[in-house]
Amino acid sequence: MKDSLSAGARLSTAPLIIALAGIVAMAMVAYHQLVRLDVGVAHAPRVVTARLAPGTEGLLQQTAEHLSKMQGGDSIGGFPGFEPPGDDEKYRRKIKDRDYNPQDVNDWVKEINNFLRQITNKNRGLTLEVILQRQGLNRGQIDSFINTLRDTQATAAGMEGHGVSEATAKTLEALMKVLGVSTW
Amino acid sequence: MVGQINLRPFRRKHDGVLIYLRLDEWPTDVPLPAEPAVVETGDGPFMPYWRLVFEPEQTVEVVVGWFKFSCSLDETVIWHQNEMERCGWVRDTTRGFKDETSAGMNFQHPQTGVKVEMSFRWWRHLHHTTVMIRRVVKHPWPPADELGAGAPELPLPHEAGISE
Repeated sequence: MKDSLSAGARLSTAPLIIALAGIVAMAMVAYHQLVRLDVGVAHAPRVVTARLAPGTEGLLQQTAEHLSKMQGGDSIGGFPGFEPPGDDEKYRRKIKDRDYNPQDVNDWVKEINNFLRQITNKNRGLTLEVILQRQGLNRGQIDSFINTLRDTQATAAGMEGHGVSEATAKTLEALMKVLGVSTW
Repeated sequence: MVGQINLRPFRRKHDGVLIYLRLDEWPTDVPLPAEPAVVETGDGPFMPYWRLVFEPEQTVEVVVGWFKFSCSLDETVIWHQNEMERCGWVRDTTRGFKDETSAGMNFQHPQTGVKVEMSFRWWRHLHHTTVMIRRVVKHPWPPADELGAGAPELPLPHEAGISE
């Protein structure tokens, strides 16, 4: 009798134990999913949404256009190159046939300095490389832009005293340093 | 006022000096074709120069030359790459670029640590390619061999028994 009672009790508690085990298992699965979700959220890579100061794109474009004047009017870093007015044959030769003189270089570098100064003022603490990255340029375009800037600095240094003023060349080098572009 | 003498003229800059080079003075470790032609602008030839920059912690030596080649961009790039590698320079493949009209390459010499940067451009209206070459050496200041313990410190004049 006692045995049959205990056997009956075991039979009646068995579904309860199974149900409890199921609930515990489901709770554990749910807990792990929550933990995974939480961990996932905590370590998800941040999408960089940093933006450039308003007006920077136009200043970069103007810088590239002036750099382009010493490079036959070619595109620099993916920005449009400089196109001399079609009716000005002298100016066209100056650009397309590299017929410029140190006074032209001085004038163009002064303009480049003006644009670079505004870019640094608007985007304090950022290097030119980071600025160009945020502008959306690829690796090759960034290298092209920075290389051309370094070529321009080397050209201006070579013409200093022959039409390029010391102040113009020195200012370009100082701005390049602020923008993290090595001059050598 | 310093009069005209036979010493090599140099141009003073705010942070050093600049000396124009003759073509036969071009650094022998950076190859050029047998008869290199310098680039000309509206002002005449752009002569290579040697610039020494004096900084508190280092002296920087930069040689810049701008040359033209009557061949295509690709041919000019390949010639320089092959010749540089033949002379033991190693190309930095993490830098540089190449597009339809321009290219850039960087090299470093494993023995000397000297760096060379080259910018190429195809001039479609002039039908030639130009290359601007910058050779950069950074010399630490004071020189490393003068900082060693082996270098004896010179006595001051009164210590050496010399009356000032």
